[in-house]
Order: sequence, then structure tokens, then C-alpha cells
Amino acid sequence: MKKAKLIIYGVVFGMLVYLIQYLLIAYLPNVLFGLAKVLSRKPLNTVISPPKTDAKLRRVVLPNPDFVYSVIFYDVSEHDVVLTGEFPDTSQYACIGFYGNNLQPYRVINNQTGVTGSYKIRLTANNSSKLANNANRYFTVQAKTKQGSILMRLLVTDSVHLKQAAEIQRKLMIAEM
Amino acid sequence: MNTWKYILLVLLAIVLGTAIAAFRIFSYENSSALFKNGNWMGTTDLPLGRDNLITAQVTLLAMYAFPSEEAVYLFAQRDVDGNLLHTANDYRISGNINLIKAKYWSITAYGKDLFLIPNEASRYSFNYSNIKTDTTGNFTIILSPTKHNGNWLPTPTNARFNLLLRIYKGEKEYLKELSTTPLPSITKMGIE
Repeated sequence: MKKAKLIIYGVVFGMLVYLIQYLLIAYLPNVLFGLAKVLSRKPLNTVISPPKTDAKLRRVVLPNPDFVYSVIFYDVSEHDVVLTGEFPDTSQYACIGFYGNNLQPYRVINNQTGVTGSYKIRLTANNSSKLANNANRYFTVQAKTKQGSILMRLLVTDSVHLKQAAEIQRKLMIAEM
Repeated sequence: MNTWKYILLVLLAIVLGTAIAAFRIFSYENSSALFKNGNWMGTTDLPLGRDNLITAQVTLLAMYAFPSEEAVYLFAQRDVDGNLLHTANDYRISGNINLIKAKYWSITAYGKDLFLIPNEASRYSFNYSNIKTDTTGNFTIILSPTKHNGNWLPTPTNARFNLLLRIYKGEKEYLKELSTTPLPSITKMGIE
């Protein structure tokens, strides 16, 4: 009787260990997203543009020192948001990536596929909201999760790029509809 | 069993579960999802969102990674002989820019903690536009804590370090062959 009890406890303990390690692995990205959002200390739907990456940056591992970044922690649970900004010409790689609350990318728009100049992107959690695509400048992006992040990357290889990047960062705006 | 024994058992399960999760996440070097090409390991088909373990590994090591059609990340923590990169040695990265077929690529050095390595020259990487090459496109990067002429990438003093090769908007055919195509090689200096 005592042996049977021990076996049952052992099985339950093993299942508990398995479940805990499974949940930690499965939800680690969501936890990291939550931490990043809190550590940014900025309201949702706000553009955050840190200076060019260098060794002082100790928040995100493996940063790319050739890029200037702008990040937005979005929330489209109540309203759609509209992102407006400008892409440089194709000589300077630039892109905007949309990530869910598990930090997985679900849409990338870059300037290497004919999208240059000013753009307007409507991010919506609602399937029926559409903004007519027009000359590669107006997009509707279906948010996979109601909260997530938008990350703009701008390649900076010289001082001209750096100056352009500062101007592009300045023009990046987000507004709730 | 009394209540305290149950609580102890649950705590033990949490500690053990956390340790197993950490071990599995940090065992990325043995992941079957990654190919190894010379010093470099990576994949052109990141199963982000499809494979929980790979997703956790990639998210922890490279938050905000891109899907492979946008960017491919190749990681190196060993030289061609399979030894961990350590600043007890200087290393030479040899390659040819014409063999990396992408819109943008770079090789960046990171400390053991995966952050950029502080240095007086503020030099953290070389990319397609700032690397010095010969007339045929061959390049050499010297990895050393002490200053060298040419493409010198500072490494920390007495510590392990890692390298990351980023390939953005790689040509389709090039990415298809990435697991076998020649990539820059990392050799310990003095033994070539």
C-alpha cells in the first residue's frame, strides 16, 4: 500500500516537473515581452527612439550596432492605430516589423520592395477594418495579438545615413483612431 | 503526508522544472534545427511560433529576430578547430565579400554575456560597406584585444566571446545553399 502511494506521488511529481518546464519554455517569449514593455517605462502607443546602439546598451542581447531603432509597444484592444512615417531610398535598408505579444514577427514591411517615401499603416485587431492599398503607401496590417511591438530598423553605415535616420525617427508617429 | 510536505514537493518540482527548462533553452548548440557550416551555426527556416523550444531559444538570444526571408543570423562561438573563442588567442576571419550575396551583411563581436564589447575605438562590427578588401574582394578581420592595422575588431581581455554573422535580404539561391556554401572562416592566429 505504501509502495503504491509512493509510485502515485512519483508520477504526479514527474508530471508536475514536466508541466512546469513546458510552460516556462512555451511562455518565455510572452514573459520577455511583458518585461520589455514594463522596463521601457513609456505609455503604450508611444514612439521610443533610443540613440544609436553601442556597448552602453545592456537591455537587449545581441544588438546590431549598424542599426538605429525605434520601438512602439502597441495596444489595439480598443482602437486601431495609424502609423505614419517615411522610408529612405533603397540605398539605406529600412524596415518596420510587427511582433505579437510573444515577440514573434507577423509582418515586415521594408523599403527594398518598392516602398519608399511616406507611408501610412493602419494596425487593427478587427478583421473588417481596411485601408485601401494605394501606390504602396497605405497598408492595413492585421494585428495577430491586441498588444505587441512595432520595431523600425534603419541601417546606418555613415554620417549621412545617421543624419537621415534621425530625421526619419523624428517623423515616425503613431495615433489612435 | 502533511501540508508542508506537499508544499516542499511542489517547490522542488518548480526548481527542477525551471532547471530543466533552462538547460533545454541553453543547449541550443546541439539543436537539430540548426545547421553547422564551418564555425557558424544557424538556420534559414526558423520555426518561430511552430516550435516552442526554438522560439524560446531565439527569443532569449535574439529578441525581435526576423523571419528568415528578411534576415538570417549565423552564430559562432568556436574556431575552425572546434575550440571556444577566447581572448587568450588572436583570431583571423577570412572571407570574400563577393561570396556573401545579400543586401546587407555584418560580422559583430559580442562578449560572453551577448552584449557589445566596450572598447575605446567604439568598433563593434564590420559590414559590407566599411570592411577593407583587396581588389578581388578578399578580406581579413583580426580579432584581438590589442590594436592591429586594417580590419581590427576588438575583443575583451581574458574572456570568452562570440560572433554573429547577419545576412539581410539574402539572394534566394544563396540562402538555399547557405548550409554548404563557403562562409568566412575563423582561425586561431599563429597556427594557420
